[in-house]
Amino acid sequence: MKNWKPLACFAALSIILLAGFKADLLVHMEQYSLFGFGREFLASFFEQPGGLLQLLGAFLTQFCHFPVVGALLLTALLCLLALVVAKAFDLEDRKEWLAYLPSLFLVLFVTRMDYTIYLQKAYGLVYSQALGFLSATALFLLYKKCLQGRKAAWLFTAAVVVLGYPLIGSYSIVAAILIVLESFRSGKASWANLAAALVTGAAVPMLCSQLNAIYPRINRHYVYFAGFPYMDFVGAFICQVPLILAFAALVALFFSGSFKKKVPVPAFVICALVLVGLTNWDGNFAALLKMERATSNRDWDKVLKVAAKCKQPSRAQVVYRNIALYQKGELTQSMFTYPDGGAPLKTPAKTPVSMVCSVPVEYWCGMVNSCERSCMEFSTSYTKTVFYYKYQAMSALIKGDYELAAKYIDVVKGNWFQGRWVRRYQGFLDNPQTMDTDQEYAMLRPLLDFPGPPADVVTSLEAAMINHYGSLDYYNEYAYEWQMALVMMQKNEPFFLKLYFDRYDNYHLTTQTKGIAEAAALIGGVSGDEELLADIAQTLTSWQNLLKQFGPFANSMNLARDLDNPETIERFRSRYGNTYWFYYFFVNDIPTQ
Amino acid sequence: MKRILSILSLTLALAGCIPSGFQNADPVSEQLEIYPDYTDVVMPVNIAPMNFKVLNQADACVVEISSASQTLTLKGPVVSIPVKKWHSLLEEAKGGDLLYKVYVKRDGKWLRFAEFKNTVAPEPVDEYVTYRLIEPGYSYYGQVVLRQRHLSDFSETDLYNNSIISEPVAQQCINCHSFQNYSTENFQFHARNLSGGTLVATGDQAKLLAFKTGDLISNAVYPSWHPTEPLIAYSLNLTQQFFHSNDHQRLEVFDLASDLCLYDVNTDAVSYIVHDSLSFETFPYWAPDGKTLYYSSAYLPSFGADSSTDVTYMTSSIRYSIHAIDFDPATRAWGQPRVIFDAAADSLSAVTPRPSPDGRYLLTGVGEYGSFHIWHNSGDIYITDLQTMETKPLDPINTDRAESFKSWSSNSRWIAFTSRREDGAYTRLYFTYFDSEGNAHKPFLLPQEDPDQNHRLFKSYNVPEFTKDKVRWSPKDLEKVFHTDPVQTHQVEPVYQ
Repeated sequence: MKNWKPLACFAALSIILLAGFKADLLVHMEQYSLFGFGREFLASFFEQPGGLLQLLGAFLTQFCHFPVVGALLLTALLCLLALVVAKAFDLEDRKEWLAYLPSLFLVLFVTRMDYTIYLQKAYGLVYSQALGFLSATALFLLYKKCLQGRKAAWLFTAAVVVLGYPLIGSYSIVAAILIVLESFRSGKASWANLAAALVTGAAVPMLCSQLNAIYPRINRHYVYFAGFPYMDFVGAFICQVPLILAFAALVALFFSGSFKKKVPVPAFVICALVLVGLTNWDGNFAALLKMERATSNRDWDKVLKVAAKCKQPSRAQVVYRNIALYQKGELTQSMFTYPDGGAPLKTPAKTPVSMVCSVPVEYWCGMVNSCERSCMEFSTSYTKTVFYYKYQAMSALIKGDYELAAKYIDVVKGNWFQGRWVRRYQGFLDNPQTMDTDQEYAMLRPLLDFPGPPADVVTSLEAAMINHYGSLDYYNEYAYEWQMALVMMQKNEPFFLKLYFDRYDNYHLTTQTKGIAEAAALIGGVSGDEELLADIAQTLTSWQNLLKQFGPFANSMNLARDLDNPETIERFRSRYGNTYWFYYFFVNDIPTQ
Repeated sequence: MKRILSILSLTLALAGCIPSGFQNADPVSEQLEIYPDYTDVVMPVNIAPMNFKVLNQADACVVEISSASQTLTLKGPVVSIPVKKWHSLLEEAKGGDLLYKVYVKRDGKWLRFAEFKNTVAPEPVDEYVTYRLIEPGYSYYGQVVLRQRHLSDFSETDLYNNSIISEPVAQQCINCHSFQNYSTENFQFHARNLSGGTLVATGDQAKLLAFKTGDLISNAVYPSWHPTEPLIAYSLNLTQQFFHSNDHQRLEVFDLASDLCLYDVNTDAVSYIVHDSLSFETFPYWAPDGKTLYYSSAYLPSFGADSSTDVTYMTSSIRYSIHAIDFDPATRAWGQPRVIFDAAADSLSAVTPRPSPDGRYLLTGVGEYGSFHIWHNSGDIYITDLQTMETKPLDPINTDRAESFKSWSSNSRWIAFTSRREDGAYTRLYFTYFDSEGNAHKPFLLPQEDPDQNHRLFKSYNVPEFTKDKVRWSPKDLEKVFHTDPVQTHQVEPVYQ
């Protein structure tokens, strides 16, 4: 390539977008992928055609552990694709700008991803499609340079499909289509012969799908989708559009000869603008990925810092914030000072909150069986991931299932760049007594003493948490935080009082967090029961200031006429937005799905 | 190029070479550790090579396996035994022992562990075992496969694999495979959700059944083919499950109601066998003569319930006993139920009766409560002598983790069973020799070409069923059956003696 400007522009844009704005996405993709050198693992990729793309994709995805490296790798691959495209389509000088159009759309394929990434069924999506396009165009280039106009061209075309299909799936058919289009455009070979070769070659996969000896596990209805992410982004077709645009850009290049000299640069700019414009800029999605990453690193301050920036969080962000608050010992103290989290997940697909965050949330709030179950459920329905195996190992470790933990840790070991995590948990496995002095276990083990009632099979995350913590007696101070948090969230006054007085009367524990004290004052105040009010006042002797504040609040509430009026709500928010009282009266509906 | 090939060949040859000097090894008192534990077991004469891995520290390792006149010398620590030589060895040792000597080299010095023996039983095991491989998810499922393993070697083929039909969202669960009398000529299994139904294959014909009809409470669930007649006994179950959020037992699977029915393969007629609103009946299994049907039954009033009770939160009180009911194959008339093993009276719960093909013994799965012992650490396998009616735990094969599904070989000398003894989560397939005196011997794990396979496989083995031959149907042919219009059964009145 002689023209370095498009290369520089593309590389800069790609790296800025991927490493600068989508670093957490890349880390997520690495965590939601898996690699290993085991025979069964490698062989599993070849049970279906196109497995090589997924395998290489899974291998390269490991490098996304370091987002800059992951971004550089993808950018390099896409630059290589542009180079091949330029050669294959004879794009020189200013026209070299056009060679980057498919690459721009393949960057968009990654930056457009939304919550449907939690429902992946294919491995290595960050790289596999770029590799597919690279393979297809490389085969096309090979044809153009070596076989165009020769008698063996038709044989090559058929061979591309027949031999390429097992490795790169239907990208081999894409290559053959490019060959036929080229022969049609150039007239150097009989396009009809080549088309016949393409059809003949493409018939082979269909034939194979009917035979018992070849690909015994292939689903014949999806034979021509092999290698494409056809099982992914269900309900979110928009996420597939960049691949169609990339293919359309390739096809458009057949007509590049007729483009005027002024066309390439504006075309590049327009496609670059499309890339930036269609990139998923959803702030909640970005924040969620940051919280997920910080949670994996047990960086609770970071979780809270990210949460603080979210003005209209989703429930997923709220529950992440809650586990961070619990770890910081501030759950009932601070959880009601946050927006209610009614923002929906911005995706056209039906991605439930439980899919998005239940694995870490269940572990870190002490529901380890549920965490283990979620890992199992999700990894059977979608891909197996390092993320799930880690939480399975952590759940097994804390339960003392050491043989099981060892198996899971071994899987994680098979992935590069997991050394820090492996050292930590292998250390606990080798010396379980070291768990006694670790903060993770100090906060979680007491929660495991809390048995929880039986749980339904299918339930949403917060409903499961409410079911777990929202019905039994007082156990210990750690479980009490979660019990009260969820009871207060539900505004379940009778159970609040039961727990509150059970702890006070039977365990003689008199200290309360501010949030619980506010709730107690409020429930006593609104009950109209003088005896109850007196009992509660007796338990709140150290909260005299709080009780003094409650009087004006109650008066204001009595005077307020329309509690649904936004102005009224804002007035109360400005004065009492950091209290449970505001939550109790103005946050009416917590969606738990 | 030739030079490179020569060096490569030499390197490969050296890599496969048996180290020398081990013959003069000094004995070592250290305990030998191998995985799987294939020491002091009784193995069938036609079993696949029982490859294992020496776990003791070793710079080099050699293993000798000897019969009377043959010795196999193999390199360790992963001991991979050639199939043909292994079978030659077994044939010679039939009815006798194989002697194992293990040598390790440490710091340049060869050491020899105390030798151990394995006995080669003269009775072969059936050539094939079919099982379901499934990730132990709970309500979701990904790839589920019914697989047949040839027990004389390591070949394994899919009987059916749900990925052949899976769609981006909809998936198919497959379960409850069952064969008629150890033959693969006639078999059945169920599919749920996507293209659901019961697939019944008889010879070269196969049909998809829409089973639920009349007043049946559910589709067909747990099956048992009559040994000679074209009949299948099924349980009908309204099954429910719930989870323990923080408990070493993860899950409870239980019935809200259950009955037994008989399906006629030729006429598609279904009739009740036992339909008692005050009892849960499940897990039917035919006696080898086809004149008795064994099953599990829990009497609701015994744990304070009746037909209108929601038993969801009473699962730890539900206890099943083993019953039997006589059947006349000629008239297809049923007799009166009788109790065979009153487990509930001993505060136990006995399920999944399996009579031995010689008719002498009955295996049952026993736990503290409930019907799904695969999720109960208390799950053990018990045996009843049907002559003396004495019931006892089949101790050599039980552990403090769940033992659950089990199956007799057609000669009544081998029992295949599943156990979670390895890690508490993933069931593995074990075999035990059951001698003519009625004693079970130390069980051994299903041999794998690579002994570490069991560590890497995150799937459970479900419902091992022996067969004498391989299923002729291919997965793709069976998949086509799921796209045919299902045959609707019809309900008829049962006949009682």
